[in-house]
Amino acid sequence: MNDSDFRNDDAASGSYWNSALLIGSLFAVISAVISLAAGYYQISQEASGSLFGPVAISGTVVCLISALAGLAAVRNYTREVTRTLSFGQGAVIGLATAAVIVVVSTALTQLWYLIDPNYLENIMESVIANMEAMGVPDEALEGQIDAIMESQTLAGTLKNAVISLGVMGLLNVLTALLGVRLFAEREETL
Amino acid sequence: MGGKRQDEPARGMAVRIIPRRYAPLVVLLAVTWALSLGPGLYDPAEPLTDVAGVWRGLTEVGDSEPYHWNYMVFSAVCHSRPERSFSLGGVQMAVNSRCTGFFSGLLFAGLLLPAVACMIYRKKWVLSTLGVLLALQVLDVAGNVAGLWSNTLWTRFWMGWFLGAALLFSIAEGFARPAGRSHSSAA
Repeated sequence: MNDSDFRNDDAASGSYWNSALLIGSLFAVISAVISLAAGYYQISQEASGSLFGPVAISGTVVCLISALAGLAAVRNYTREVTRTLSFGQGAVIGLATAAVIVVVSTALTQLWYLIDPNYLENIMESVIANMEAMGVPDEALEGQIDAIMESQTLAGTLKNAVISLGVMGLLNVLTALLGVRLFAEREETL
Repeated sequence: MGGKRQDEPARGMAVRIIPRRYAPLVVLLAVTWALSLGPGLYDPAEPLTDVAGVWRGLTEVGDSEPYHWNYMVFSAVCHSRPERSFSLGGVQMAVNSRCTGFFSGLLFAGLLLPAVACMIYRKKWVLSTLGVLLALQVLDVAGNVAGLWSNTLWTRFWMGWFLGAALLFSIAEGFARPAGRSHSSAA
């Protein structure tokens, strides 16, 4: 190992965040748009007795999109910075991308609440109406409403963002490792 | 995917697991899988010792509190609709049946990895299989949404299971190396 290897590592490690920020932000915007669209659609519908309704379909799409962000970030990195990438470095990219997705998604959601102050209230009414249509007992309904209200506060949103980062991070690490397998050249071990 | 690619290893070449990478992987997969089983695992509404009840619960909708922290852990990756989720101990699992299968497949493949590493290490057919399974997932979801067919809890479970296993096997190279070679510190 010589000095050029260390310099390359320093430059390369500083570039991880470029790919993570770019791809993570892009995927966060796409996910937020899909989720908001599904939310507005649910608001416009009658209570169906299904708690999630069209949000469930969007949830599946958002899940798939968000999980592939790690792979996309590695692809971006190998195209823009260097094709040589280890699995460990790929895992870091995946984790960083997941963190960006969670942060940007949370920020976009909070920003939308400012743009459309009625959105949160309307979604709450839709969720409560669906719960009542499902026949949820009053006690359980009150408990759920309290939980929903708490989750929509800034503190609750941040808490949920942190705890959801774990699994999101795992999925993006796995897909990032897949990206390394597909797109990167690994250094042959001695 | 152009450029230089690592070739498949020579036939019959032994492959070893990298312990300091493999152990955290298995722990992480096990913890994630356990969490995916939902609050019924540690706070069941019905006794888990009743095996028949547990088996019956795998096809019945259980109680759920969507904003319980256990469900919120998976909220970013799974919608956890009650009618599309198994239940354990009378409580809905934290993820839907497809994701339950996915995390189960991941864990199974992770536990099996030391035994099959030599068979799957850098093998192209593993990637091809992953691609096919991913396409089948998309088709299954699309067909169900379009009303062409109705999948079930168990069909979704097994589709997720095979996808999770294929994904883990596809990245086995990150947790193993050919026997007789040292692990690069840069990796």
